[in-house]
Amino acid sequence: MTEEAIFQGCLKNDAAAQRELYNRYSPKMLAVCYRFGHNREDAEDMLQEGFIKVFSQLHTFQNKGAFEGWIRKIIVHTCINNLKKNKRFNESVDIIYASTIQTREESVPGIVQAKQIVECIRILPIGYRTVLNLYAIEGYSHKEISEMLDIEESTSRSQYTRAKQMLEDILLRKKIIQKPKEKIPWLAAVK
Amino acid sequence: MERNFYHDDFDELIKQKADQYKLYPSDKVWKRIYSSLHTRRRWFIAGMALLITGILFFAGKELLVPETHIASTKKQNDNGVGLTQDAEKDKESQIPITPDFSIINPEGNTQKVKEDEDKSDLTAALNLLPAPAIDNPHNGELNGGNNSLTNVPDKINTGTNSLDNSLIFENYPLVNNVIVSENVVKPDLTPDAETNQKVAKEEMKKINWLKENASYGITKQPRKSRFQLQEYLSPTASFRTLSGGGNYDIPKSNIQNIPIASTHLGNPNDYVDHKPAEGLEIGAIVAYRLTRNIAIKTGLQFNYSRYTIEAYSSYSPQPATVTLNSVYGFAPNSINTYTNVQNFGGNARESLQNQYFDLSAPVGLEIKLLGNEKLQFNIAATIEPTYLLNRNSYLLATDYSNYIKDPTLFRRWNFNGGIEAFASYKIGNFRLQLGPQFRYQLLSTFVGAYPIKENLKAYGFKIGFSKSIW
Repeated sequence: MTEEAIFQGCLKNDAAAQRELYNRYSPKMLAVCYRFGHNREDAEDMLQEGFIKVFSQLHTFQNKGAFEGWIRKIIVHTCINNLKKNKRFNESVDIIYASTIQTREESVPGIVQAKQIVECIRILPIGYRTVLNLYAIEGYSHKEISEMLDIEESTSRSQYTRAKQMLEDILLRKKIIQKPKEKIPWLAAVK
Repeated sequence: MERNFYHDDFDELIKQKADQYKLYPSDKVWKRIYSSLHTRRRWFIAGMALLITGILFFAGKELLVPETHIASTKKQNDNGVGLTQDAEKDKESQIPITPDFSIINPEGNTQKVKEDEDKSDLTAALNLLPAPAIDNPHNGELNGGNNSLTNVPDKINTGTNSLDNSLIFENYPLVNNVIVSENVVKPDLTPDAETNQKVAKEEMKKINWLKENASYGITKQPRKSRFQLQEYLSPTASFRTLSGGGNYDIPKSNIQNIPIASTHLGNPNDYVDHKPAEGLEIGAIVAYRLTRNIAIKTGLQFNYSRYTIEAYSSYSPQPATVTLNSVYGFAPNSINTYTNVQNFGGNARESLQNQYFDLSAPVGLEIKLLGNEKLQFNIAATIEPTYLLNRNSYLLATDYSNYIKDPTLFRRWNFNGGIEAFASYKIGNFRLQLGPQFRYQLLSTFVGAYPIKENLKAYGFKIGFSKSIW
C-alpha cells in the first residue's frame, strides 16, 4: 500500500489502512515514547494515546512536510503532556537525583548499539532526560522547549548542559564511548 | 570508530543512535487503539442488540408464561357487590334443600331421618331404635315453620322396640348445597345444647353466605378492549449527519473533461456549517394488546424536519458541478448548473433552511416495563416506511464549494427507525403519555448516485393521549 492510499484509507476510517499505518510507524514511535517514559508500560500507554490522536486529527494534515515528522510531533507532544500530568520538572530535584546516580564500569562490545545509548539516556533524571530528548534528538529549540515544559529558557539550557555532561560520564564509565586521546605536543616532536 | 569521538560529534552520535532504535509494541496496544476508534459503531451495534434482545426477552416471557388474572372479590366484599340489597332478605327465601337430621339415642346409635318424611316413616324409623325409653321433659311437641316435624307422641309403642319421647335431634353439616332456613325446628333443649346449636347455626350462616355470594353474587365485569387509539404530538430538534463524499470513481480518461476539486476529500461534516432546528411529528396509532405487557402498534404519522445551513450568497451565479457515482462502470454522469449560494465564502452571509415533509407508517412494539393500572412506564420501538411528500432543500456540490437545488436527486421512499420511552397516567377513560423519543433515517435522503449521504435524525418529546376502543 502506498502512503497516499494509506492516508486516504485512514481518512475514511478504514481499519485495514489504519492498521497498516500503525504497523509502519509504531516501532519508531514507541522508541520515542520509551525515551520519555518511566518504563515500557508507560511508553505503550503514551503510544496508544498518541496514535489515537493521530487518527482523529488526520484530516488536519496539510501535506506540508513529511508524514512521519507530523506523526512524531504528535507523539512527542503526547509524551510531554503525559509527563506534565505526572511530574513537575524541578531543577533542584533533578540535581539531587543526579548526584545519587551510580553506574558500573562495564566492558562493552566495540560497536555502540542504539539500545545502549537509549538505556543510558533513560538513566538520567526526568528533567534532564526530557530536555535532552527534545533538544538533541527531536530538534526543538530551547525557546520551544521552555514553552512546552512551562520552564524558563535558561533552565532549559542549564538542564541540557547538565544532561549532556551526565550522559557523557555514564557512557564513559560504561565504556560505551572513549574520550579522545589528548595530543601531547612534545611527544609529536619526538616522533 | 564510535569509540573515538569529539564533543562536537557527541550530539550527532546521540541523535543518530536514538533514531536507529526501534521497539515493537505488544498486540494489546493496537487492540485498544482500534476499540477506541471504532467505539461509536460498537456502542450503536451493542445498543441495538440490547434493545432487540430486551424486546425479544420480554415478548417471549409474556407469550410463553403470561400472567394470569385472579378475579378480585374485594369489591364484592367491600359493599357486598354481587349481593343485591334484598339479597339478605332473600337469603331465607332461597330454595331450601331439606336437611338431614339424625336421631341419637342414649346408647349412641344414630339413624338419619329426613325431615319431611312421612310421619309413618318417622315412626317407623323411630320404631327401629332400641329401648330404653328416656323421659322427655318437654314432652316433645316439635314445632316449626315450613319445616316442622310432625308431632311425636310422648311415647312410641313399637312393640319390641319402644322409645319414649326423649329424642335428641342433631343437625348434621350440610351436604350438597343444603341451605338451612333459620326457621328450623327447635326442639326443646338444655341450655348447653342450645348454645351448641347456636354456634352451629352461626357457622352454617357463614358457609351459606359464602356459597351464596360465590354462586350467585358475582356480577359480570365488562371485558376490556384490547385495542387502543393513541394520538400524539412531538416537538423535535431535527438535524442531519453527512457521510461519504469524495468517493466517486472517475476514470482517468475523463478527468480532463470533468472539473474536479481534489482538495476537499475529507468528511463533508467538517466542511459545512449546519445546526439543528425545530421540527414536529403528529400522528395517530392503533395499538393491539397481545398480552398484559406487550402491544403491537401501527398507524400514520406526519413528520416535519428541518435544519439550518450557514452559507454565503454571491451577486453573480457561480458554476457548480455534482458528479454522480458510476453504476455500470461507464463514464460517470454529472450535473452542471449555476448557483448563487456558496459554502466557503461570498458577498454576504446567508442562512438556508432545509425542510422535509413526509408521511410515515410506524409499525412496532410497545412494552410495559413496570407500573399498575394508574401509572405505567413503557418503552417502544418502531420501523417506519416513509414517503417524502415535499421538501425545500439545498444540496452540497461534490466539491463542497456550492449549494444547489435538484429535486431529481432526492429519494421518495425511505425507512426510519424510532425508539421511545414514556410514562403513562390514567385520567378517567384516557391515558396521558409523556416521554422522550429518537428517530433516525436509515437510508440516505439522496439517491445512491449522489456521493454524499445524508441521514436525518430527530430528538423529540412525545405528548400523547390514548383510549380503549371497540
